[in-house]
Amino acid sequence: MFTIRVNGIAHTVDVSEDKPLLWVLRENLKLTGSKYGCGQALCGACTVHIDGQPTRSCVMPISAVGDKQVRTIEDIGNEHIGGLVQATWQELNVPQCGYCQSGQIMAATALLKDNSSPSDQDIDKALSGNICRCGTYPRIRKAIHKIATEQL
Amino acid sequence: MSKLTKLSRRHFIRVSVMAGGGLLVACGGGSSSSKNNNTSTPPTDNGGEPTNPAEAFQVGEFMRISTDNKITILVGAAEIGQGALTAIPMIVAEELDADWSQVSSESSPVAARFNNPYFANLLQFTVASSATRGYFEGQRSVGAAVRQMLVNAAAKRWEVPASSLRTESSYVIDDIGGRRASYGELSSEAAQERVPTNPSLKNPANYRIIGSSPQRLDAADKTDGSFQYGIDVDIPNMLTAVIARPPRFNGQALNVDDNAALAVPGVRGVYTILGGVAVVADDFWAAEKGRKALQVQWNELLAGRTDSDTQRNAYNLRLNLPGLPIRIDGLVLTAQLFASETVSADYYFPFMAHAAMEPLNVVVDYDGSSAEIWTGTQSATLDKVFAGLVLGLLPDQINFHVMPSGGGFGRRGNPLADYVRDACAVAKQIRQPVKVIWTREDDMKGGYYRPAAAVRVSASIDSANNITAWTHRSVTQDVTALLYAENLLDSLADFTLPPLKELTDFETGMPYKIDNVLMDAHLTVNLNMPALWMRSVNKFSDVFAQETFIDELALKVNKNPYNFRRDLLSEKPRHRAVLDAVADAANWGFPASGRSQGIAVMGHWNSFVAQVVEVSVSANRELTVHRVVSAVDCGTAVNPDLVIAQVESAVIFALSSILFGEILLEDGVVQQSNFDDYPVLRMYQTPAIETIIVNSGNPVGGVGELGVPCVGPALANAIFGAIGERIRELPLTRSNFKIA
Amino acid sequence: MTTTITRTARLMVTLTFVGFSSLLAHNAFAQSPLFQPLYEVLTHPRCMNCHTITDFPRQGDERRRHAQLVVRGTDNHGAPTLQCSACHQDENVADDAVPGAPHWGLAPLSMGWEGLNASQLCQALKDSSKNGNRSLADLLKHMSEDSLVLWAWTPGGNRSTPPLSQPAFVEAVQAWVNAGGPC
Repeated sequence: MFTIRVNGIAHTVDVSEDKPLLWVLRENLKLTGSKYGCGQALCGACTVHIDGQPTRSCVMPISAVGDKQVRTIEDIGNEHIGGLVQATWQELNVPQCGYCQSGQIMAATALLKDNSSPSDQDIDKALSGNICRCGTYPRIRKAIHKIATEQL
Repeated sequence: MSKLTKLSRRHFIRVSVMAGGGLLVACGGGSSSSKNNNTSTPPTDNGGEPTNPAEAFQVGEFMRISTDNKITILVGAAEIGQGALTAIPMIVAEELDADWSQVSSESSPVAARFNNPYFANLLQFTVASSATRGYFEGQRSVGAAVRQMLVNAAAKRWEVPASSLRTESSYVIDDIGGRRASYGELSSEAAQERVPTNPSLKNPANYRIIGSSPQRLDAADKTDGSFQYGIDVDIPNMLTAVIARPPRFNGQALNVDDNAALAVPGVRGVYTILGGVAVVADDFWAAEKGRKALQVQWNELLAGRTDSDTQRNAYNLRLNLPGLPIRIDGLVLTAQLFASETVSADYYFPFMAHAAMEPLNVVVDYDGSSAEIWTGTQSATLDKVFAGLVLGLLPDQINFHVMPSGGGFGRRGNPLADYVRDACAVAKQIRQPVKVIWTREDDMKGGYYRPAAAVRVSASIDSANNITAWTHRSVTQDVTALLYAENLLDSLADFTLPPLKELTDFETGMPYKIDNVLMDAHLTVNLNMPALWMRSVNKFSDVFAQETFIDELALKVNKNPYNFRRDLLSEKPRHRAVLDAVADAANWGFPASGRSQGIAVMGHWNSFVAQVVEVSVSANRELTVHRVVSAVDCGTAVNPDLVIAQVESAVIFALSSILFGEILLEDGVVQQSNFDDYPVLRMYQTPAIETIIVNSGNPVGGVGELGVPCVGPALANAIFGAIGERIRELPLTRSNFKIA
Repeated sequence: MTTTITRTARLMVTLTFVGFSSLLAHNAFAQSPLFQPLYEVLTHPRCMNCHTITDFPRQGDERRRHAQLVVRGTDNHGAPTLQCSACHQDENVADDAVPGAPHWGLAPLSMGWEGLNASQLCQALKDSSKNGNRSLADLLKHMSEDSLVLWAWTPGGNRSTPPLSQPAFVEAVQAWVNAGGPC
């Protein structure tokens, strides 16, 4: 039995200790916004915030979560910057298939929280762990700059 | 185009009155054999809000107009990221004169009336860049017909001539009487109206919605985690399965030791199916652990033994043999005889994986007499046919939900329905709802790749430096050819396929003014090496060869590659227009300092594209792609921003293939497994991308694949400009380039 | 004056020493036979990939640049919002596809060993201004007990391990420390 705090709520789940956080979120807590893409921290689709830091939930055993705060795409809009990121993503039609966008948004939100005027290089360093096969990178970059320039 | 025109005439509209009032409209030319008769219970799949029939007037399964004047349009094309759920409703809304802000959309059920007119109204099939251009005319007619019926209903209500009324933003307006009624108010009465056989369509000059770029209808749900993909489907009592597949294609499980697997907590059962051995468990993690514990001995006597190196040698040998002619202009042999010189080049392209972000997955709920299926697919009609075969059910015993896909790129358009068949085979044994999940490794190793291809092109030049002959020969596994070899579609879907060469995706559109042209192909069929179409299909390899070779010829006769092409396109105004536009936008001939430019042009899918790529190559072969400029003519852009997004997408997709894309087989075993050994383009490797639309006002062309084929040759031509080296094979990592 | 002379002498000695030892290093021999086994372990990819002198870590036995544009960052633990811990757990995970150990990260630049011959590496290792102010005893403790160091012998998957076994390495370090850390 593990008790984890997700989006401010404590959940107790009865799962094996090596079950990755991603699958606990998706299967046990029915929070399916975080996506499975590679299972090896190679694509970033499963990115959640652990105590504010973007983390690949597909490789984080549930036993490693402890009392750290988990925040997912379902709740990130409740943060000021998370909400800005979502709104700008919509405005610029960033998503195509959309499957990677939960991870992209979690990565972008963390970046903008840390750095209110990221350079292109800062964006590269923060977002290059998140793969998008539809090729929305140019719009992601544009959206991040737009938020930084106009709203932060 | 001839296909399209012919088909649009077959459109008709069926209308009936619904229980409780309302208007029932269905469009399409398919037979009415489908018994998908759930008109009183609107589909609630795909995460759409269930609509209470008491509160909504239904305009059939095709469209719903609710009392608060909200319109929901059901879309027969699959949403694979290209924006089908936005662009197709825009077409309907345009002719309907709907208030776009009140329009939403959902994926349609799998039923004949939603078939794609592009495929003779026989299939729901979202491939070949056919969604928008396929559905365009039919959707307009339906929108226009319903608008006319709403106007007629208002005319009756107000006892005025219909001709005195106009429509605007989901209202019928009587200017003289100073009154208006919403579509929602009128829909019940409109259902009583006769369906106009030839509703008048708008003059394109009066379009308000078509040609605008509203936000994608799925944008909000795709940013807050609420958008439901197939992998997110969750139904009561659902189990999760993964399938252990043979290391070599078409191997069969011979002996299965499942003791250790069954000992894993949460594992419910192990079942051998045709495609492998399924481990069924309470959750994904238990299924995965069970699969790892499984011991399977495979019978590989008849399994595939494709070996990349061996195959390449065999393909190269076949380049010496004549293939099936697919284009013959003039007399090539004679022209070659009289030429002062004939030059040729050979090219090679490896297998490549689609690697969509959402790995394949299917949910099947089978109870012995009926089934419900949820999956992201580009080929719903055939999936449903195969599901019926595997489960022993008739089509009307299957409720098939087309889920939006986390990417398709052709992989979800498998006419052989591989992943649906596997999932149904599992469900048939367990008779309990089950979600079959492919891991990334399953997806990467699971076959159905862009087939490897060898291409040879030659050109003959006379003493005045004119190109007098052109030959182009391809050797590749052709997916379409496979369908013919197996006669599968003929036997399953009860229709006859058109002649093979009309359906292949081989390049025959070589646009240059050359009198003598011979294009032929070797249509290889290898059932033990599953190949499939991948975004832009054979154009990827054929256009690469064509557009790099034409560059070589230009330099050979001391001409600027842009001017050389331009001269040879004197009879191809649309090619020329995009070529001129891209040269202008990219400042052709004046690359930034230290950079080199390459250019390429093509037309297909009733669209045209020219691209300029700007690169630099350092002394230690570090390759940087700085900029890709595209000019496209897709006739009419329904949603220009979606067109631009598709081109941006295609450029990045193409770069992944060109730079890194390679699936290698050794003695039948795929060597790649995940994004570490099958890298795709990441943010930091992405160039500046600029796209301009130079539309011609022609009919709607396809754009999903358009941006892919020219990127490779333009890039290779730019590399030649930088270091004087010709690229004859992909990916570029093979030529020892380091990708910056 | 004296200082200058001493400095010059020291520099000359050092230069001779460096020249001599790089010759030795070229032949893969350290000057002190007691340091040689340490050198062979410390220059193994499992150690060197994160003891880089670059602003990024490396991966694999071929020591390619770490994928995903992973960078050193100001704290040697990655970019501010793409930290090593975004992927690397306290243990190897995903069937060992993703290696992990506590406090996964790069060694500080001062402990970057790339390009050093045996003698230089030995000096750098002992230099308390570079090694985190560690004494020889501290070095022994670090190299025999630190969980991230120990990971080099349990890297998981097909990753190669250093040429000496972990106990043999500890013995070698002990012998070197006992001898006063000869280079």
